[in-house]
Amino acid sequence: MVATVGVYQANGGSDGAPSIENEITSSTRLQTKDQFDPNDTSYPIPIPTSGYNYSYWIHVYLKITGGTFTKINNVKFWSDGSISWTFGTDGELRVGNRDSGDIGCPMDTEYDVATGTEGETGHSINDATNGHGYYKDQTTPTKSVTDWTSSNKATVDSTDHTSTGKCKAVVLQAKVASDATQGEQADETLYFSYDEI
Amino acid sequence: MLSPPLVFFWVVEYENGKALPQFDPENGFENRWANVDLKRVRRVGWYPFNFDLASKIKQATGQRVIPSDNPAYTISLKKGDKLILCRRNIIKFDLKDGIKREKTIYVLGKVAGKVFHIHEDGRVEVK
Repeated sequence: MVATVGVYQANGGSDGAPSIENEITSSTRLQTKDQFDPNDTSYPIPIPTSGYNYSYWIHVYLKITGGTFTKINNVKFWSDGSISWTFGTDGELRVGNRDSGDIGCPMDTEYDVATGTEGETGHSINDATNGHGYYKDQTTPTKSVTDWTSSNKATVDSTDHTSTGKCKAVVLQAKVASDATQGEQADETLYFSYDEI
Repeated sequence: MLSPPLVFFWVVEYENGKALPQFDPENGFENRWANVDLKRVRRVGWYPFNFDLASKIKQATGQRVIPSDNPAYTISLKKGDKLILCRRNIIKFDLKDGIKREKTIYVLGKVAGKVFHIHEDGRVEVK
């Protein structure tokens, strides 16, 4: 009749093999530690004295866990076009991007463990050495989530899914500049859609 | 997390005049889309549930569907037409407030042709 589909976040483990998976039901948090703990406020992103600090990136994806369906595909992702967070100049909430094809990160094969200095900064997705392996060598390795809107949705996963499993992931990261404003930031809304028959 | 309850179900009509509905009107059991012979389909559409069928589906599958007075929406297919038919599910992801389901859009159309987005309240947008 209908598939059972949830939004999940992967953390930990090693490249290609996350060790922790949580269904996001109430909230998530971008922080300077590779963990899923929305209630832990002890790993904020400090405002740098110069340059940028980053959250650890997170892999967020749709997972088909059951139900009755023939096919699920056409997974899309977008924002309402505005993020009110006070990131500072050129700061942003960004998403991993590919130069062609789906922007989603195949799970678990292309999963890349988030790294950095806990409590200080994550590595940038596009860092030449420590960036995300699936994105860092692209011509445009990241985009702001506000580049993707209801009239210009990102194609995350065009694969036909005919059984339970993970769809490709969006990889999200906050980028914070030296002129950012400190404090807990407002709620923001992102969207996924998928086609089912 | 389950999708919202169904508001429409698909019915295909074959060249020979026979029809295959997603739910059998006699007993409420479900036919899978995978069993549709797409090469022989001449008409297809999204149909609303009536109370009788909704009751049979509940008895047969335990699943709740929503009956309505919405109209049915159908399209005819010619040889070579490529059908677009799906339910588009939208998930609202509030970073602080969690996951919420938006209403489902029932999509019906042809590749390189008009595509209808049918909302649960019966409104239709043509794309």
